[in-house]
Amino acid sequence: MIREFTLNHVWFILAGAGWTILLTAIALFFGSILGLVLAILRQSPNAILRVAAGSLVRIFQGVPLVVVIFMIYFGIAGGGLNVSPLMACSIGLSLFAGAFLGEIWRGAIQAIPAQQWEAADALGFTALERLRYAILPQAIRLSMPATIGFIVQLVKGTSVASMVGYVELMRAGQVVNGSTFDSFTVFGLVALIYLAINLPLSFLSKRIEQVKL
Amino acid sequence: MHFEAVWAGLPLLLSGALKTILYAVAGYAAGLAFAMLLIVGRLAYGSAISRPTAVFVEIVRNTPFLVQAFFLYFGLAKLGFSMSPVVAAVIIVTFNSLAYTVEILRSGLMGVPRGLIEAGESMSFSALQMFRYVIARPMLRATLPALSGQFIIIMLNTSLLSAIAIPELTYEASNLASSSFRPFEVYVAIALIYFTISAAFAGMFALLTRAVTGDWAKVDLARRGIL
Amino acid sequence: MSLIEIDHLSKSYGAHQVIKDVSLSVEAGEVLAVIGRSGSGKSTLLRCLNGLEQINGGALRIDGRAVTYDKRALRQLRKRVAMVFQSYNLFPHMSAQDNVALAPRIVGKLERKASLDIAHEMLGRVGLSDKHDAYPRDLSGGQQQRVAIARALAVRPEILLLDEVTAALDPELVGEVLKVLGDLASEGLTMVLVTHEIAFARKAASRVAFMHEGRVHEIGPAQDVIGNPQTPELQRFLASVIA
Repeated sequence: MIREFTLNHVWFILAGAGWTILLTAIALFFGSILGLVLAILRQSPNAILRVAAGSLVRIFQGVPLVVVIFMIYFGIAGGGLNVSPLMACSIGLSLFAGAFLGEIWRGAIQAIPAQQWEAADALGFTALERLRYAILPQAIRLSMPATIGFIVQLVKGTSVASMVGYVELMRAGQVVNGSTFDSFTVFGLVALIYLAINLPLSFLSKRIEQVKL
Repeated sequence: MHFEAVWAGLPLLLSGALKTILYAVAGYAAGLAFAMLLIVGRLAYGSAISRPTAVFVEIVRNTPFLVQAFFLYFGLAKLGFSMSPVVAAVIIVTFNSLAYTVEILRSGLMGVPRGLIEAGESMSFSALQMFRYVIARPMLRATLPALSGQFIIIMLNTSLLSAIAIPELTYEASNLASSSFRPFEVYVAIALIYFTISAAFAGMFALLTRAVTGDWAKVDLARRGIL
Repeated sequence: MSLIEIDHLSKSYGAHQVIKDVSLSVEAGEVLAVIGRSGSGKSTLLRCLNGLEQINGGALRIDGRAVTYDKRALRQLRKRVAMVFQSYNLFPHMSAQDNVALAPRIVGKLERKASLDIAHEMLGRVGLSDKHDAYPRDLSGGQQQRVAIARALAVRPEILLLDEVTAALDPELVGEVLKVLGDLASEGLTMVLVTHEIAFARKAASRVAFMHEGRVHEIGPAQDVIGNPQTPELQRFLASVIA
């Protein structure tokens, strides 16, 4: 039975947007931790760690996000464990975010001039203190535009969760479309909500790119 | 793990992979060509071209590929503009390619030395001549690594076309996964296939970069997907 | 026993030998100026003294202890032997006082308050008591270099190394930095400075070493070495920098 597109549908879609933001936040949180570790490991004097971290990044940059999520979802389920779509998507998106953020931050760390590393050395800092007090604060600032730009990619990436049935913004749109068949209104609204989330981030990213350290 | 199902379905997967490459290459090339036209248009008409371009670019870059596909394929059909999934797919890939490559080219354009452009202006070149003789080479040379990375991203995104039933690699894989009851093995297999395609194209772009710039250092960076 | 003892030291980058069999010593309270053309090995020699470069041959002793390169020994070494660079290398994300207070807090394990007290004291010594909260980008080159000197002094080192610290400055800003160095010299701080400021070396240094092609070509009291050069190489060098 075809129903009218009503305010209830709008609320349902907005709730989906809430889950999109939650999924983004989860992936950003765990992805940042993983990304930081990967970025630091890629500077490691130990060649094995460096290559391992680099390979992980290359794998996630060479395989589609949806395939990664499917592998995790069916891989864990095939092992006999119970896995919710939210869990599978959180893991997949976190790995995805970790790989890309790691690469962005590695670039930023390498962009800090050698003299800054040396100045920290000359003060008697350990390798970790050098990163913590001298290099990372500068690298984080330098990478801000790219990092925020990546958050936009991540928000868009969460739409892939719809393909394993997790009801975020995209899936909510599909559900409503399934009962109203008003595809133009539904997907138009969904697109507008994504724009409302992402446009401010995109503008912020461009804005701080123009501000000098 | 049981990969028999994968072996049995391999011809299907490979034909899907071929379609993945076709959609990616066709859409990317079309998008890049339009992007260059827009750059020439910018040179000729300034903000009359660049403003609407910016609006288009922001809309495409800030909405998910899937939403674009559903809006174009299902949403516009609702208004009476129905198109086949293939047409919708080509349009979506082209739009995404255009939106990202035009930004890359624009940043490459900014890197072209001011003096070169002034030299062209002093000879009163038309926009097309300016592009052809002054800008195109240094712009493409500087942006090849970024254009290469963008191609890989576009190619990986075509996996989402499975949602509008385009028989590319991921679509064939989901069918095989449900018919064989071996989803994990199937997705591991296509992950390998995607990775191989990515690596092959990254390598080809690296060779191209080298041919254009003669610069091994950049080749290496492009190969590692850094630039 | 001298505070710094350099004994048949050599240093190479691959096949290229930058320092060839250099021996010299520096007494506590002495100011040694090292002069020479660029590429003569003088900066490398300086960088060996606090372990930024590892030596390949010979020996290097600070206060009787051989310099080694394990992490703990390097940390101890750098607390005693501080360094100021040509390009200041202040941390751009920190105010002047935080730049100076950082090493006392991190390496010296002091409370934040105590480390800031040291920072204020040191900024006072270099005449920048009014710039505690200024960021490097808001300071002139001369002021940045004085903050860098304060930062090096903050760990209360026994030896201060200065690597062409006025070379990147506009000519009108050189004087303020040299004045600070002159004050430190008269306070009895041991300093080794690589410099192009011949007049300053003559006035403030107790001894001058002239390096040429990786070797110490002439060394002696400042007046003698600069006032009465013995070798044609030094004569030519002095003629080229003074003219």
